[in-house]
Amino acid sequence: MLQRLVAYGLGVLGLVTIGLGVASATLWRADDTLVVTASGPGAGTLVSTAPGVLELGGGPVSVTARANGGTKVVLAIGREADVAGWVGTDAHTVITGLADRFTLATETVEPEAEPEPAPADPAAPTEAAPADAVEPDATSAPDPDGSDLWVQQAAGEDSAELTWTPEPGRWTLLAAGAGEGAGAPTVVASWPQTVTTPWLVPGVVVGAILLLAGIVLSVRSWLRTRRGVTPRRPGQAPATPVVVVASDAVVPGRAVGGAADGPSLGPDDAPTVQLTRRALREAAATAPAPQVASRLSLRWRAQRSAGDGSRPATEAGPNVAPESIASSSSPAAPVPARATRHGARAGSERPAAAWIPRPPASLGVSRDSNVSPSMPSRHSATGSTVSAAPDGDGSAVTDAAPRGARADAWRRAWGFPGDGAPGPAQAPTSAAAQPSAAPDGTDRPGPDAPRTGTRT
Amino acid sequence: MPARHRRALAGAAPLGLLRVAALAAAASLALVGCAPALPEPSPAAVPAVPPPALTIEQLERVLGDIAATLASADAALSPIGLESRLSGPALVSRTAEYSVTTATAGAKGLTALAMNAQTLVVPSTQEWPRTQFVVTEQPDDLSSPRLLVLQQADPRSAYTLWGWARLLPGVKMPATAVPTIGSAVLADDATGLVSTPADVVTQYADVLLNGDASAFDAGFAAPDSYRQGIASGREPLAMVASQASGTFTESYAPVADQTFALATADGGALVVSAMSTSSALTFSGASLPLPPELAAVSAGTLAPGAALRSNLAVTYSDVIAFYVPPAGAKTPVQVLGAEHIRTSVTGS
Repeated sequence: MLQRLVAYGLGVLGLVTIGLGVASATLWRADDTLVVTASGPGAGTLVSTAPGVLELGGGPVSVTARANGGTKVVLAIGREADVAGWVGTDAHTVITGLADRFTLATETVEPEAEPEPAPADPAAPTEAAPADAVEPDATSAPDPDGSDLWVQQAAGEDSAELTWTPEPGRWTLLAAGAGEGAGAPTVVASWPQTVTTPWLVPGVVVGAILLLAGIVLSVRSWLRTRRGVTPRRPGQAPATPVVVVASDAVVPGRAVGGAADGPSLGPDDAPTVQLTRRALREAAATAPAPQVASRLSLRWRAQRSAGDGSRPATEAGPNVAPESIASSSSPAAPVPARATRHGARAGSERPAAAWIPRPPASLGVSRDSNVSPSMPSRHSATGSTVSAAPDGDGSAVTDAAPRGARADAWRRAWGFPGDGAPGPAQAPTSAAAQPSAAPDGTDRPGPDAPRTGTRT
Repeated sequence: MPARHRRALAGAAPLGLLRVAALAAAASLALVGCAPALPEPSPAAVPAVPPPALTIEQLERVLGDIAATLASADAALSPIGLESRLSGPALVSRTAEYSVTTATAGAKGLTALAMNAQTLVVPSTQEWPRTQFVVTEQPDDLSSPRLLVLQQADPRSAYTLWGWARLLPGVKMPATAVPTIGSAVLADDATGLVSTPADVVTQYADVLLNGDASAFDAGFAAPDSYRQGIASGREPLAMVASQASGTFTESYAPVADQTFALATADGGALVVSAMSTSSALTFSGASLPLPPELAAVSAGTLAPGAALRSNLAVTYSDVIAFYVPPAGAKTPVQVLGAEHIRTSVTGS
């Protein structure tokens, strides 16, 4: 069933969405720190940052420099102009930003004093840079340690670390390798990240909504199925023909109220009753003129009720029933013993309880108890033990006449033609097959004929 | 359930549901697909006016370093190591002072240099050399506060104490910008002042030489105590020269490229310049015993108490600080402070 599939799909989707939302805040939660590294050969012994790089991750940045050769590393923070001034024309590497989430983008700056390196070829300068850098290294790499220019600095053997809390202005970092054979140090910057989980709540909420929608849909679908109203179940309804007795036959069945036995008690847990062959045989035996109504008859009923345009109108078929009850109340006697017995039980214990519980809910029977027989008209098709007992009356037989009157009043109130006129008029072909539409039961062939049928 | 509803549920509703489901699926995918973009450097805008060259913390650190260097050198009365934190007239003067102090066994003491800043005049510049002024608290000996001149010659150099001047009695320092903003650096030939800084120094040299007769006398406030001291210092030597049929000349000259100016709050300038004073005394027919404090700065060429027979040449290192009012001001240039330290003596 499409609806049920959709319901299940929604439910699964909801679960998946919830899962994704939760995962986004757990499994896929971003790191608490943004750690990026600038390594590589670099030019000279100096690494500086472009303005703004120190503030890339927001908040205080922790910078660590590790020596690549040499023995001493110096980290210093200074104003952009001060760092640039200190670096001067030396070859150095500029950290320009992030290359990806783990790597800093760098740019090699050649010593300005060198006119030879052609900037056109990027490979050549990088090749030339170490050569240029080696010469000063051989003597001594410039050491920024202790300069008055720095507002903050750290120096150490092999590695140095400092934490810089952003301040207004353009501050940059200088990392320098110093000592014998120094090279540009490897710079690692890390920022604490305020990790947000923006998808957690939306994911869970949306997922919950989807899941809820799925549940609601499936529950509705299930309820409808259980009620036997589910419109389309191809393959079931046609498979078993609905056995419908002549209209007259049903009325007693319903009117007797004793018919409310097993199957009619069943609706709560067995919305559809599939008659066994034996039941069918029995039904055929008891019904003088059983007629097999194909599913077409049901469909016709559906169509008719759909065309009526009002909610009670949809119960047009059933509406007729009370009146047929009224007319055929007396024939209730011929009801088979079994039905009577059941009716007695049902009548004593919970009259019409078999079908009342649900129909009132959806059919608004509470407005008029006479409407309630509409359900019996449907459920009456469940077998020869159809319960036709109106709710609360205990004995359908005794109340039959007044009920018929009330049904007329109801019909009038709702603008229906009285006395079953519409039934025959609109569906003459089904008049025989649909006992509920039969007028007054005067022409009913068999008062006691039970209707058997399968509704799905 | 009414048939109509049934049909609606069976037909139209599922379509809508499918649509909802599709949307939900898309939303779920979107949840996963989103990843924050890489942050880009977004540096603060380049300020229109360069920030102060030094923060107050940096300046205090520099002053502390200078004080420590001075303290250790003072204790040893040795200029060794002073070069790291002293330069220019300050280095020369302090070296001379050590010699004098040593020669006189402390009778002629060192100029007290406290590094407790009272006022900071920080240049807002990104160029080198960088020069800034610091007015210190009054030293413990109750001498006048010092105007210190700090200088960083190039980016890889340390800030050094370039020179100092004693504030003259009764002098009130002009208002200057707070150190967190910084004061503009003025060139030697900066306009917008009653005279360019270089001219002020030259004119003052002329005033020192010619006194009231100088054409520039009117440009300076009433004879300051420094000028008076210079004039009065000449008298004994001039007397010797006259008595010993000799001559005495003294010349005052600004040291080239050693004039620094920072703007004051009123658009004027604080100008500090190094000057050199040369005194030359010639005489004959007399013997002049050389005082130890002079002999001390003779670089060992003259022994204390040596008798000079013909001439004596003394060189002084001067640091003079001026307040130069903005152009159009009616007030004259004011000498704020000065230092005058004998740095070399030759004679025979």
